[in-house]
Amino acid sequence: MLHGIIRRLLSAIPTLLIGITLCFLIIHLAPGNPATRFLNPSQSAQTQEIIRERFGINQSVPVQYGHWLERVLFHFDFGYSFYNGKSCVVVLISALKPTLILSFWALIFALFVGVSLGIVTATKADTRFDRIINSIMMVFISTPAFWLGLMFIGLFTIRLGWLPGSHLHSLYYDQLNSFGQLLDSVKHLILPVLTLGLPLAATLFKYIRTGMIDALQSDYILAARARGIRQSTILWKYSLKNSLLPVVSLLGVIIPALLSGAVIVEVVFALPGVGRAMVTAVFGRDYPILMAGATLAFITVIFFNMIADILNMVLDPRIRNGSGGL
Amino acid sequence: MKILPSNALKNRSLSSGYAAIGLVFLFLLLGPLLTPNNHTSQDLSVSLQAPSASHWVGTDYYGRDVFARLVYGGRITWLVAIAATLIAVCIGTIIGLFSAYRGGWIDLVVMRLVDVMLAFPKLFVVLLIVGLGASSINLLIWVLALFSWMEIARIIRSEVMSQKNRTYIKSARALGFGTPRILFKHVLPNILGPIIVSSVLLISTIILVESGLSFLGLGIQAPNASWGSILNDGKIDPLGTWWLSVPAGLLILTTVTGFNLIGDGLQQLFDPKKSL
Amino acid sequence: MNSTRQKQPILEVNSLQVEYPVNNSGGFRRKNKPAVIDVSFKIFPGECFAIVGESGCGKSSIIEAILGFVQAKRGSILFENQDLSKLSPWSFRKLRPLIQPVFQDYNQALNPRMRIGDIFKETLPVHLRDSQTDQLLASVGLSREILNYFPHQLSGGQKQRVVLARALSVNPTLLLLDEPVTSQDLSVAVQIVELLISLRKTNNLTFLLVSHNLSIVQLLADRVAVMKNGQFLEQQPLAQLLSDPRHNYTKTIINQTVAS
Repeated sequence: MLHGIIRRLLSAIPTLLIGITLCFLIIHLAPGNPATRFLNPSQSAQTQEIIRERFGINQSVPVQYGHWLERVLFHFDFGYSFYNGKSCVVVLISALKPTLILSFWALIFALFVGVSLGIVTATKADTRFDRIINSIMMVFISTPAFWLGLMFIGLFTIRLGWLPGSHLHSLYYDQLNSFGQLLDSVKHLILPVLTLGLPLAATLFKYIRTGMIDALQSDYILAARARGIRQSTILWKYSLKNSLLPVVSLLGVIIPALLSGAVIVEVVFALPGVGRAMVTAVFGRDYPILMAGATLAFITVIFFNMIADILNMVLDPRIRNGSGGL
Repeated sequence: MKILPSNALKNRSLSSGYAAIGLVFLFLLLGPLLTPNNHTSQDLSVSLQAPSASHWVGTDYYGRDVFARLVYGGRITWLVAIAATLIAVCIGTIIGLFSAYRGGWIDLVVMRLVDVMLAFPKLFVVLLIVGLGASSINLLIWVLALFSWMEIARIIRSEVMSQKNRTYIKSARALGFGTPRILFKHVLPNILGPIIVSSVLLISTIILVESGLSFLGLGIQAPNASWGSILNDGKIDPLGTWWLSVPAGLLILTTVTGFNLIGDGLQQLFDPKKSL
Repeated sequence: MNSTRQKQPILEVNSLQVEYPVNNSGGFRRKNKPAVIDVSFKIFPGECFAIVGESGCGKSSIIEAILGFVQAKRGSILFENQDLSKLSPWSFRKLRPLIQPVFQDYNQALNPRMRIGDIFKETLPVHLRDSQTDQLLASVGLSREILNYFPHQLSGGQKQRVVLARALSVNPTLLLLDEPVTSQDLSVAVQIVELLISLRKTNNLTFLLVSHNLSIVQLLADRVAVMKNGQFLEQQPLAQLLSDPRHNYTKTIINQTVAS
């Protein structure tokens, strides 16, 4: 099995290289180039040449690629933001925290709601309860996240004033005691987490429910029931194992979905995360940030894919050998 | 043919799906006949008005009639989604077919490429490209398609793998038929089910992505409308100016739900065992 | 019966070795399981050469190798004196119509979405289509009306006949029969066997018959090879095999057949 893990790790390397190259290509082949905002016809040819050289555009694309690759791989240097001159890596890392917090809690929420509802409805398949939950979940899958967020803000923030609709902390955060701070943070996070987490919960719900229904009808379960094992034991022992596996393999899909969703949610709720930074960078044509962001997003996804695959390898063979009985 | 509405009566998902899509489609089709208003003409004197007799869904900040914008925006949203899906399905089908059938290193390389592209979070990357590029609907459609073909290719690949060693395919090979003929005349007709299902589901995904982009201001640009961009107008006071935010959102919801239901229903028809 | 003149063999297999990879989850080493070990035989024009053995002994793998669906590890396969592995893919494809398989599961052998008529539209040249279709159908004992049907609407026997007709429609020289009647019930099996016998004569065909059922082999074969665990135990003309088997295994098979 160690073999398999090593093999998986090694096979990620070409993937990473191809992806990083793609990031570079995408940015550089897109219309316009980094220097356009700084150039204008009123400048002398000399000035223009200096500007071009400053951005390295006067060199051919392969050369630029070489330089970029070398800087990225060996110095982790993505350059400096056009907007505020800070190092891209610094900017993105400071933006990372809100995104991580948001994604983490959204994932927890989605797991909790999606998995538990999935299991429960699987046991009550085709009952009224099941159908109602199914329909509700279907709606959540089909809802655009930003609309959900807007509706939440409209209702809970503007109309009812119950929950704040933007930022992570209130302005007076520092003046609160620690309990107050906790409450404040929670209040700020509720709506964004719901907005990001509900559609995800609905997706997880669908997968878990199907998996559980299949499994509950399997021979293994029938045999266990025939032996007189209680329903609750079957449910617990079985559902736990069964829910973990598909979620692990779904990680590869969940992580990009979280990242994409975070972009929208951060913009709607004005959270200073990576997603919002990217949107701002797009509008500002802040190329270094864009390249850095795309590359880091890609690497993150690949990383979690790898973890998911390895986890699968660890969990799966045991089940194949019959101790589980999927 | 299983897609036909005649089958829908037996399947609850299909019937509700068709109903939803049918309703929205009628709205998009007949909308212009119901209102004399133009979706681009501005009239600042009537900006931000609630629904009234002359403006059924009110007006936006520029005094444009929201009803008309919903109709035209909807048409653009649907157009983009369907066009991008068609392109993605074509690319994905061809790549998936040949890669899976040929196997060997071609398959390895293609699958690696698929993995790489799937690792880019869709919205993230499309937002990049579209944001940097010129604001054209063509670019939007092609970029959306370029980041969606992988899902189709994967599904096709797994289907082809399961058909590849079936006896009738082996017989076709033994008869001396060439690869393109085998793939298009023998394999493809037998895997249409999953292709259709994933295409329908792809339409709904793309609608969501495009709406998100337009909401951010990066997808469909003024003076064109899209349901997402209308929502962008409504973001300042979502429930106050509810005619800007609620109808557009509901239209997106209904359309996406409709396509999802159709996809699910078709899935149940084609392969009950695999349906979610 | 065969004349004893020295003819060129239609098919010549030399020291064939076929192996299948065994999946080792995650390992770097890939083990191969040999399915066919050092098998050699010749088939002469007009004769029926049979391979008898239990399921899993590797007889189907020989057919797969001849058809080029599986790469042989070692050995050579010569068809009309051409080494199949040395041919370019395009030349091989041109040869394919001459070597036609008739697979065991006739249920899966027909494209479920194609009508029977369309099948012949594919294999027969346009200008001769109608007359040849009629001929083919007649030669396998089917009537024109099945042309409109889909495979799932036909009986097992009808399907097998269609498969045969399809194979014949490309004018093959060699037919590879993999358990042609094993999945049929007895009455149908008998009819198919009779059909095969007459076709062999009228169309001047050569057969490679593979079966675990010695009774069928007895009805059709001129020479027989006995196969076990990937290897040929013995090769003899039919009559000699039955009267003077050299291997214990062969004796076992003969006794089982006599008993059943």
